[in-house]
Amino acid sequence: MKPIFETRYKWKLGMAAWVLHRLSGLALIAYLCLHIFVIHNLAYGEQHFNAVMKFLGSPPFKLMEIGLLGVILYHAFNGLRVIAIDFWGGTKIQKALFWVMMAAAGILFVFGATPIARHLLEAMN
Amino acid sequence: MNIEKETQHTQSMWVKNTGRGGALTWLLQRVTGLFIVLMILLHFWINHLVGTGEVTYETVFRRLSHPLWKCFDMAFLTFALYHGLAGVWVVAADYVKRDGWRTFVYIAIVFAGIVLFCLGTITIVRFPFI
Repeated sequence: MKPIFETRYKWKLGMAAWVLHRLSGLALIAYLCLHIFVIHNLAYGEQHFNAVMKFLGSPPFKLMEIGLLGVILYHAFNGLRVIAIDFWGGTKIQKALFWVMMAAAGILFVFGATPIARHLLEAMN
Repeated sequence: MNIEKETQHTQSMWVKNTGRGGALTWLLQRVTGLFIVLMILLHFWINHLVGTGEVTYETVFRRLSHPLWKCFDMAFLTFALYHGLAGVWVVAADYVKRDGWRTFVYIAIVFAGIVLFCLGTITIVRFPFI
């Protein structure tokens, strides 16, 4: 049984960031496929679409939505780090850059997840 | 592990292989990625942070009736599908080594892209479907 990672470096920050970038990317394209399918329900009229949205507004989905936001922000900000490394010689500062990007992502996460969490708590009461 | 066999380059024209090196794909990933970061923040903000934040036919109607928002959504769809599916290919190309399977995966990705693009386009352009 061949190991999946045939070329594997030591577990360092950059390696972990890369692996997470790939995994988050795959998760996001899977989500995008679902999202396109869900939104196309607009074609079946107001009642149908609102029923679908109501179903997807239930607590387990709201929770997953918060998770989705996290995944998006990780992929986006690590992606910005990749761009900085590729185009602006960020290699030397790649580790620091990671934490700066994650801090920015964290701030946006709090900003974006709070309203969703509020809806979630209201719906559960 | 037969290193020679696994690293040989095939000459077959039926195989989606390194060939020209993938430089354009590399660049486009970065360019589309940058646009997507900006667009996704706007998309999230306008849909979930403005007003009540919930998505209903009514709220979508107010936004997606405007040609400018239709245009934004179309561009977003195009960039996101390209970026996502090109990314899937990058990962697949790392792990799918056999020629026939590489071709199959590549065609499957292109096919999925076309189908998803059509579905998204019809939804955006033809909304509200009267």
